[in-house]
Amino acid sequence: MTATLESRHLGPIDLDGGSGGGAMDGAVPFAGHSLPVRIEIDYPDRFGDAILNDIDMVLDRLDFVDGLARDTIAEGMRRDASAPAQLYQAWQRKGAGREDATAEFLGGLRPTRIVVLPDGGRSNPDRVVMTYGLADGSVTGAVTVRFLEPTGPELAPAPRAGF
Amino acid sequence: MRIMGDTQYDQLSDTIGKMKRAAIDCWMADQSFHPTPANDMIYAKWGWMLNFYNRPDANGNGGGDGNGVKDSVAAEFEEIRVAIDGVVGRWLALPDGAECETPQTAVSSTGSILGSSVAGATAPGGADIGTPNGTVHETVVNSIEGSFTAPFLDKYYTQFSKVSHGLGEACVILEANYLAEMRMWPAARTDVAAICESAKNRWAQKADDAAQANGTLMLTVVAAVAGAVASVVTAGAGTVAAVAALGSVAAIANTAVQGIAAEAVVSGNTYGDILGSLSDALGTLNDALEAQERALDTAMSDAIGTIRGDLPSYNLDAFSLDTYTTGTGTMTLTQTHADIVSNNMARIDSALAEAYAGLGSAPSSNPTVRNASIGLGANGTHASASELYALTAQCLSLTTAEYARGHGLFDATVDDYFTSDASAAQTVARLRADEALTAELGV
Repeated sequence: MTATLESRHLGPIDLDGGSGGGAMDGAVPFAGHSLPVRIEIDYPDRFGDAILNDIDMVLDRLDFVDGLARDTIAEGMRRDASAPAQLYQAWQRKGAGREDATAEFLGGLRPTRIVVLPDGGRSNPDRVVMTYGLADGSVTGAVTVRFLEPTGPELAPAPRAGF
Repeated sequence: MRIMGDTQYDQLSDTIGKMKRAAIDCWMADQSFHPTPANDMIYAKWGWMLNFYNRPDANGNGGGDGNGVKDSVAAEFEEIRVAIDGVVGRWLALPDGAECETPQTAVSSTGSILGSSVAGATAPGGADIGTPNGTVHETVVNSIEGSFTAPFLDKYYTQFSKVSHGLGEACVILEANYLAEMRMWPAARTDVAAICESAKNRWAQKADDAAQANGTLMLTVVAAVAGAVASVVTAGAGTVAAVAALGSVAAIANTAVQGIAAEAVVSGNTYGDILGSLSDALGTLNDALEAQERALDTAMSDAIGTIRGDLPSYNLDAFSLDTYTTGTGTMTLTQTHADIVSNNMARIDSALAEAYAGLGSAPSSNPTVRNASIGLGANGTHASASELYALTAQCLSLTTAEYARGHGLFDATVDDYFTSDASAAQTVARLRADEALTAELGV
């Protein structure tokens, strides 16, 4: 039973939702802040130790996941149409000023939410979705990195209306 | 002769290695582990997480150590390799059917002489026997009078025609067996290779999450064997089947083989499902092989029973000459007509000798050696084929000798008519006594 399972990071697992799936919200400390965590389970009836272990594995190594996400965002900066490139431009317009402040921009990004979807299988390949925003709050808007099975991290598209 | 599909079958060991790696890839994908883009010799959780296991090499060997929930899944990898060997191993080293070519050629040649597939619509037996036999009949009926002609024609024309046909039909059944076996195994090799390739691809595609329709394979072995049997059995049906009991045996075998429908399906979405479907597909192939060999074996067993149950129809020696008189009745014949009959009987003597020599004997060991669990067992149809072969050869041998005695009897009767001396009459009496003896079959 799911009620007896306990995450090393989130405590006892208590899924809400019905037969279409279950979810639970929580938080973990990361980089000096509390990071909201949401777990989404496609098949609550199959939820067990193996799936819980996959969730804890991600939360154990948030630094690794964060590193991959930041590499992906930095890579995306090369394409003007990408979400981070557009967020960067909006940030620049707000008066950040300098010609090339990419490093400063990237350093100002902070994870604002992580969603772990360990059992989506082939039909729902997102395993982890991490969202980043600017820590200084100068521009609202988020850059989302999707960690897909089996291809790995990729950027979600920029919003149509821009930032 | 290079047999179609053989190349792929020759590489089956390599294919099995690739099947193992594809199956292990699939099993790992079932637990969300995938080769990483940076190093395809490592499986990582979801394809990118830190947890990993080593991937086997391209032939499925090794791999399994890592740092996932367990330190190693090498034992699980080995179980997969053992499972695949367990399903496919018995299909290695299938026969190629080539050793059936010699007996097939022999029975085909003898069958042709005796009057199987090459028999004309009106001629009993092939041209080598049918034409001279017809001439003997015509000459005796139209140009020779005497009380001996009725029993002579009854045995050495009418019954001999039946025997010749019957033995020809036994050769047809033997030929159907050897030709079917000759075609069966190359086709089975093709099917095994295709089924294994299909399973390998299915595992690989499922590991890559590629959509894949069920791999439905029409087994080539079914058409190959049905075609082989039909080509032999139906070729002579217009003439032979109508006059010989074995014709119906051959026709039943043909119908049985034609009725075998087999398609193998390789499907499934997980390692275990695909392994099960591979096993089922090879099982379907084996069912087809077994049904085919059983139909052939039944035909040959039935033929043996038919021959043993009605020996006079297959062995001229077992047919008794009716009352045969020479000196008391009125006889009319000319030397020319007597020569025509004797010369044509000599032609038949030669044809029978050639047919017997060409037939030889069955292969001393099973020409299609295979694993005991495949087809009709380790010996296949070899036992019944060998028995029918030996029975046919022995009946032909005795028939050849008996026909030669008939030829001698005719010559002595004619000699007695023209010379009317005591020694000629004694010769007739001795030959009649010889004719009356019936040799034990011995097989």
